[in-house]
Amino acid sequence: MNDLGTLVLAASLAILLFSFIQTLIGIFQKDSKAIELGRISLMANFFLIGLAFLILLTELLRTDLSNYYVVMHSSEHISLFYQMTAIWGGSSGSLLFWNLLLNLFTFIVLWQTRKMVNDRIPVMNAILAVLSMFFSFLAVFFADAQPFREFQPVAAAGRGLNPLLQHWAMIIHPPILYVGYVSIAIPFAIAMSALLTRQISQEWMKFIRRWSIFSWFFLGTGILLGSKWAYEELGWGGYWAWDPVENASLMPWLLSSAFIHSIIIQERRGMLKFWNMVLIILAFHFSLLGTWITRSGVLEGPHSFSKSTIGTPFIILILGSFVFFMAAVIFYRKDLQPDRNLEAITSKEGSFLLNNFLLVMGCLAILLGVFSPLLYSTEFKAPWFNSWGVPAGILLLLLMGASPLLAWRKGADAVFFSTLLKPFIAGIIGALVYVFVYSQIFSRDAYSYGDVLGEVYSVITVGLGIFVIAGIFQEYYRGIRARREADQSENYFLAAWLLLTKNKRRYGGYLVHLSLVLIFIGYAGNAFKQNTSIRFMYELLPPKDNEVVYASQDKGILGNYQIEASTLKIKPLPFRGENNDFQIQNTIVSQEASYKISIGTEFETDLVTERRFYPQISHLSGGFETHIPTSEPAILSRTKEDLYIQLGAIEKVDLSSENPDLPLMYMDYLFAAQDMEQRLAFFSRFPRQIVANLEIWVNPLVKFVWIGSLMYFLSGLFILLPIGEKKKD
Amino acid sequence: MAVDSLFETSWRSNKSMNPKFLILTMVIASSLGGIAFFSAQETAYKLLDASELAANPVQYKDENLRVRGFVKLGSLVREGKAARFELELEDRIVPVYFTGDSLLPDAFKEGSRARVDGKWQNGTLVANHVEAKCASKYEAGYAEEGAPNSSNSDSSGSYQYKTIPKEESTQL
Repeated sequence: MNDLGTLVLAASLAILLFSFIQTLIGIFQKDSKAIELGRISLMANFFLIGLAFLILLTELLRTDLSNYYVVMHSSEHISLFYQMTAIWGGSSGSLLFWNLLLNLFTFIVLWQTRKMVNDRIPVMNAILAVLSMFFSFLAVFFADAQPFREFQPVAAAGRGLNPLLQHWAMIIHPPILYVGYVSIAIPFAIAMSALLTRQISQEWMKFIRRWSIFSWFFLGTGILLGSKWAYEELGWGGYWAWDPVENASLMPWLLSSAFIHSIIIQERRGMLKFWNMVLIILAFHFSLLGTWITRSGVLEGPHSFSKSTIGTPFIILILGSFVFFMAAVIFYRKDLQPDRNLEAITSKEGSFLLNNFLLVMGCLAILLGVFSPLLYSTEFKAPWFNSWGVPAGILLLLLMGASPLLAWRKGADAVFFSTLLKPFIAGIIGALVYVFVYSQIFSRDAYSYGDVLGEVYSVITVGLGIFVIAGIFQEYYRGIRARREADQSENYFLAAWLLLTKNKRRYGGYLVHLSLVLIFIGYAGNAFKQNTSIRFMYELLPPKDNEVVYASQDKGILGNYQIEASTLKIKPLPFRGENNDFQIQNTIVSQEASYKISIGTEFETDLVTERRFYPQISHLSGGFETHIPTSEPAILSRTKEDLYIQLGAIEKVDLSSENPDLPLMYMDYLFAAQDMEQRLAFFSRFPRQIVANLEIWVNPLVKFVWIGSLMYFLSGLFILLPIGEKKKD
Repeated sequence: MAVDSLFETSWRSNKSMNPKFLILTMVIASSLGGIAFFSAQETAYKLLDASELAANPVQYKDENLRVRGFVKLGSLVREGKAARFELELEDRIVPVYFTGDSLLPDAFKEGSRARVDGKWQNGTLVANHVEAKCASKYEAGYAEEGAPNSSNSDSSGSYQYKTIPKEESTQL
């Protein structure tokens, strides 16, 4: 199987080389047959990569222990489903997946353009062939990207899938994000092709726009899913940490957001042609950069640069390609002269320009933060990103609200009373109501004044958010009124629906704005976030069944919440849910703590939080190697705030030395004992008393983030799918 | 460079709003840049190996430090929530006082790999945050779970088993 896979990848490299050369010959000799041949061979490559993907999938499902990738990322003990998703659990598998997606999109775009023989831009084929060639090249020649490396002699067992990835959101998050990363290549290739062949037509711009919205939508959805996963799985009470991998996906999203806005200006006003080319080049290269950061582990530690072998080719590709295409843009700048100039700063064009400026600056600042550990061994933590990111986000929110209400060419003073005034007043009232509301209902620590700057930001954000929402309502209202004046028979709902579907870009875009506002309001709640940890003392109960049970009667109070500990169980949890067949290799040790939560004096609910210890199986002996801990927080989600708890470190009562290794003691208790006497002996090693730390967060307004995320997904889908669009004949 | 070229192309025909726009963007950029710069004084951490710090501690006075090393065997003394221990790398030793403002993670044991955030004060690294990794035989490179700075929201490379010794896998 490995040989077959390697052969297929080598064939893919060969066919891509062939396609590239044919296309080049076709371009330079103006030979349409050669171009056609290059195109068909490029389309054929999709099937080769698809075959390689299927081979790897088969090996994973069969737990073929002669394959290095399977040994490192899967095992026979995990469920069938996770065996499949292990295909993006590691470097080489996900690079193959990247290649597959790239070829899928290439195939689609080549199919879409099959009839546009005269207008077709062959340079696009060449660019896509080179890009795919790069990934096939890596897969053939670089160890970290070879999915079909032999493991000889055959390993004793697979090491299993990283437990953090065994979660529903993690199943769909990577592919969605990848779709976003990869699909930027298509609008990029079209745009560059149009540039190099000097055929910058409106027709192509529409094509580019659709593909870039597609990519932007998937990137955004992927990021938001990742946040949801982080919140529910990582157990540190938040959803965004400005972690390098998160930043890697945020940067191309910011750039594609900038692009889909500035391309409107190009269409409507004939401005920013040069800038749009720069933006799409940046967006594409940042997506490559993101792939590299995510896949190579380059930012793991400041000194791990040399560890990944794919780093160097990636840097060469990114820099070489960036320099080449930037030079091309500068060389052809005469084709990209603006038709008009900016006439007023506070005009619609002006606000779009500022939005672009902020998004790109934000992206570059994130880039600086991401690479500072490598460049000058300094690490910027989340507070640094927030320090400038929050005010920049607030400015963006202001632009998001003002821009739809501003007029083309004219300054804001010309339209202030007719469009801006009412939403502005709504925003101020909204902010005042918010001040009143949070001072009354948020659970706040009476002893701390909190972070004043954070509170100010929070109020401004909510006020601006309401300004944006009011502006959107006003726009809809005016649109509906105009329709009804033209045609009395339309009722309000029909008018709204037709308004939305007839001008999807504008009114659908407003829906995306609305969802982003909701997300921002959710972020604003962070200013009132609270975090503390409470220590509960537990006593060991006599042994019963397989479980080791501690009990406590301690209570803790945070704001309005009363948290009452009951039991802390250490118990086995099989991978696949089959009962009583506990082996060292398939058993997760779970520390499961239950708490009774009361609000005021009213009992509200029971919350159960866990720490899970997944067995790391040795691929050499097949035996137990070490434990990998994961967190399972419990969340009481209410409209105004979430109560988020996570079982933390377990300590000895006197804190005399290092914390007891309860999972290991439990492994002995469960597996090592031969008879009852030994079992009791192992049991007696457990400390009689322990102290368990419970980490507690109160997160106001988090629900808004998830509602906004869902709305982002739905409104993006609505814009992309041909819902309500009539076919043009 | 990219931003400059934006203006360069539309600069020629004058009577436009470009100079004003340029000033506005500069004002915004410099204020955000200023915020970022001053916040960096508080929130940026210098990455160091314990051996580097031990070799030249005076140089790193008053800086936020993030120091890597191994917890020396037999050096851990807990004082309630606070703790004293020694961080060791390449036979050089850094004494650490952990203030107990946060919790010591479960994985923190004598002999484990640790990353300690703190400041150098009077011959001791005074730390308020400690991250630890089990010094497993194969050093499975999992992100330290529970720590925002290293917890990833992606099936990222940082979850890979990155340092499986090559000779181990070829020998057998």
